[in-house]
Amino acid sequence: MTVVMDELLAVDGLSVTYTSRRDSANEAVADTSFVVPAGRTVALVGESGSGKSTTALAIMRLLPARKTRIQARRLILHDDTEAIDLLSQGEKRLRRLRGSTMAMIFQQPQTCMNPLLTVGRQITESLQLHSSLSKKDASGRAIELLEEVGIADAGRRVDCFPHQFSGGMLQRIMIAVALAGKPKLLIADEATSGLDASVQRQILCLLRDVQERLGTAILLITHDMGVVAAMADYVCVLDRGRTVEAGDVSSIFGSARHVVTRRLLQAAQRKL
Amino acid sequence: MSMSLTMKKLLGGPHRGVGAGLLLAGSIMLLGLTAPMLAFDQPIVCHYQGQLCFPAMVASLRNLPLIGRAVPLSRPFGLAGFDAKGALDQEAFAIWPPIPFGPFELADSPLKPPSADHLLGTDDRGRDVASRIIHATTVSARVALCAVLLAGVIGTSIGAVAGYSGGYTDLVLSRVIEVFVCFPTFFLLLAVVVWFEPCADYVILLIGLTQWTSIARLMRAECVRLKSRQFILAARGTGISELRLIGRHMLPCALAPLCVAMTFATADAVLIEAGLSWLGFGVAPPQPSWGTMLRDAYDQMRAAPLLLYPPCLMILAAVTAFHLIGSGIRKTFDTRTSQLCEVRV
Repeated sequence: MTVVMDELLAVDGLSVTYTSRRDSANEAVADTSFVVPAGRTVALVGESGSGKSTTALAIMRLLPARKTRIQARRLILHDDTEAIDLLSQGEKRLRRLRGSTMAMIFQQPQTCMNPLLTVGRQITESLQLHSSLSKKDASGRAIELLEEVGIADAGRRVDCFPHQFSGGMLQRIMIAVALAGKPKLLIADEATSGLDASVQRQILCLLRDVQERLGTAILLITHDMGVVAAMADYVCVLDRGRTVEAGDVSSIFGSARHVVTRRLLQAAQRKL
Repeated sequence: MSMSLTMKKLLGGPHRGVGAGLLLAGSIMLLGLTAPMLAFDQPIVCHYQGQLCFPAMVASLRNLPLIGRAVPLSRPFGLAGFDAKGALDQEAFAIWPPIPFGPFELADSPLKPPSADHLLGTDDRGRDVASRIIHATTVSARVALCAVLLAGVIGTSIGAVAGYSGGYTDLVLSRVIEVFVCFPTFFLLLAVVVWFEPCADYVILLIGLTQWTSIARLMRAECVRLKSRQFILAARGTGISELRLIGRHMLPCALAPLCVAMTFATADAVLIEAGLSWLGFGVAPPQPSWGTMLRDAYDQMRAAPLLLYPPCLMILAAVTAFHLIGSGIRKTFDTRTSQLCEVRV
């Protein structure tokens, strides 16, 4: 792995084991290493079951503590001044990091928004967790955020419930929720998989726009090499929980060495 | 907007019972809250010693939960031993409640049959039964509602902690719930009540502390189900605290089944209170409650069988009302599959 000067997230030798039953242990991530430089996009690609999502949840420390064992040589997130070892943080500190330093958006936005709260409430909730905004300021900021992610007529739509939006719009709103805490790292777990091609392109444009404006680093989790080509600066290929190939995007596309990478590339070409 | 939609769905839906139940339960509550305005041995408004007084109104306000205790007595009308009927001039201005007899007032000779003066007759001590049944509503409704509120708070919190935490916490709390389910509630209540003076507050406490199990089990099941949902994971991803996560995101989704359980629990609480008071272990005797009135009537069954009807009908009405509401909500929201929280995908 190339050494990058201003690394934001360093993952080295990460392994995650699901220990749901006493005797059987399932190692979902075995040995994954990559670095996310500040303000750049890293794509984590692999077939389904290769440990991409588990890696993301391990970084967010959202895996259930009782049923998983996370180990790593290094799992460091750089805040403004200090390097934070994510593995040794208590739940309280992690809660403060989630949403403010690192945020995550998921696939299938329809299932990721609370159906009983208006989207405005969900954005203001996220806002108020990480700032001392008053209720009124927060709802004003929520409308601004909705406008920023391209929701037309945001002032009125802020009081709508999730079921009143389309999937693409909900994904934009999820991004607004994630951006509420001004994160330095945005993890997008298959953020565009459930959407049709044109909406997919719009969401990717939005993410790139966000990155340019706010300097947010993006960890893009996907199996679609087309998305990788459009978005990523660096690529890390996973196979059965191990990093099998890593490098900048041109070298991966130019000379893919590993069979998984080639297979994913072929799949993308055939689709086009 | 969603609130009015929910109400429309409840009242206009195929399960009209909810409307009837709400109406019935509402009138019982209203009866309980305004009891002194309907039947009291002091006037609603009167002119006494050069001052306008509102004794029955003040007494009604003092019935309100929580803030009631803060309302000052309208002296000397609220004081013990003050006889408004004797003290007030016959010519003085006074508006009396429709039934001008108090629940403790010895109004007439004992066991009089219903007449124009006493709509439901008088009991074995000569107290007006109509007045007593109205004031009994205050006591019984307060006991049932407070007990269910207590059971709801205990059940929801224990269920939420068990369901959300999982693991050993869940294991231990679930066993605790099961142990409480296994208690024969009524006999436990009897055994405990023997040690205390019978009093409405103990009845509230006892019903509340034993009837929370069904609510806890329900809340636990809902939390287990909700815990694995994506939007809960997504909410955790924003750095929300666990208390807020349960309160803001999980509790609202579990509200429909909880409402059903709470309404059925209210009906149960009415019955338990009546049963305990009937046995003489509940509300203390001079105080009217549906149970104590039933006891008094039972003792005079041969002499005045008509006395049995008022308390029986009130208990029946209350239990029916809450069952109608409960089953109506359940059918409307079909909590078995709980479509309320399911998102179209």
